Amino acid sequence: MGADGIEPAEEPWPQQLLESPWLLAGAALLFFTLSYVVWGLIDLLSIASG
Amino acid sequence: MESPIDSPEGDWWSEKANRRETMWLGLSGIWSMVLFGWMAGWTQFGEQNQVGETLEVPPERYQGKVSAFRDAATETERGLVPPDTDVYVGAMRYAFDGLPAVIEAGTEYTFHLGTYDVQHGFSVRQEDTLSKQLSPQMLPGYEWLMLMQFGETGTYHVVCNEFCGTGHRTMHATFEVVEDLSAVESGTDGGSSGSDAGGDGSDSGNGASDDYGGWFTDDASGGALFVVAAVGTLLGGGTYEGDLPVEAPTAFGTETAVPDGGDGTTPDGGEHGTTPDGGVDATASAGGETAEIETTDPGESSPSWYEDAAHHALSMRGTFVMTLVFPGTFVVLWALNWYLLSQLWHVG
Repeated sequence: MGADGIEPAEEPWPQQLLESPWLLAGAALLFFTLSYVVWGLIDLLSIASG
Repeated sequence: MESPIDSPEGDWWSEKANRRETMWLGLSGIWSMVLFGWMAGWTQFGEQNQVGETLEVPPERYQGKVSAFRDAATETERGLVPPDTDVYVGAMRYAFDGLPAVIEAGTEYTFHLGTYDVQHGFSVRQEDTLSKQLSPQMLPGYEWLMLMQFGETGTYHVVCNEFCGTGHRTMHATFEVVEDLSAVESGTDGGSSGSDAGGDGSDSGNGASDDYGGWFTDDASGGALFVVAAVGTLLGGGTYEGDLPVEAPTAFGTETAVPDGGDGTTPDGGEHGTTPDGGVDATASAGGETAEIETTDPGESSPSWYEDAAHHALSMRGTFVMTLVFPGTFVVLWALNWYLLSQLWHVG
């Protein structure tokens, strides 16, 4: 609640993400961790039995 | 002074971006996708990496495949001549089953790579061009089918490049690439002095360690082992409890104990591996004489603190700490970099 009694408009989440280096760093780590895990799982599951 | 990269006030995300900015972002996005595709495509089609089919095969079954290969191959003085273009290599502590082999130059072979116990390396170098090397890995439980064609004749040395135990440095074998395979099979080209079809002929076909360019040493304690032990002690700590999958295979074609007559009490707590060729890791003949490279295990005769400690480096604990240290360092450096830049640019 602002001093004039008007609720300031909340910033959209992409803006919050881009304005916070810590949030951005966390998102980057999460993205690449998940990407590599999923990539690894796909690799493992696609190996044929010999 | 106001920083040019300070965020505008209020909700800037919902504002319509300038057309030039949209175009610039679009171009950057497209270019990054091109680079990504380039990297992936180069790996697959650029013939720069060893690619090939991988199969999931239990070690016992893979051992059977290598045995079948040895049975079907023609035994010559210079090694096994494969019946077709498939060459099976089974790595184990501390030898390469299926080698030495003799193959033909210019023919594309499918090398089947797998191991019977732990992870090993398949580092291949031609004796006259030791700087050229390929270094695939061999994993237990998997069979890697790798297409290989050799243009240069001569003896190729194979060493394990993945630390696999106290006898790792002795893990060596050879295969030979010749112009005319039929001459080898018929025996007309076998043992015809050192000047066979290989390389400059000066020392081809001689599998003795003299050929080896110093990869082997007579230092039974292994200088490199000391470094590994030191790192392992720092990272591992505690006492090694033999949790490595060290069970050695027992059903090779000819079971013969290694010549040092060990009683099987290696520091890793596992049975000592036997080699299929009578305790000799690699044999190759030249001039009718067979040169042999003996398998010796320094850990059996005199286990010392650093040999024991070397196992710490291989234990899960050390590896685990290592994997934490690397991303941890990255995160700290990245954050510090961001912090310093934010001070410089007056951001945040």
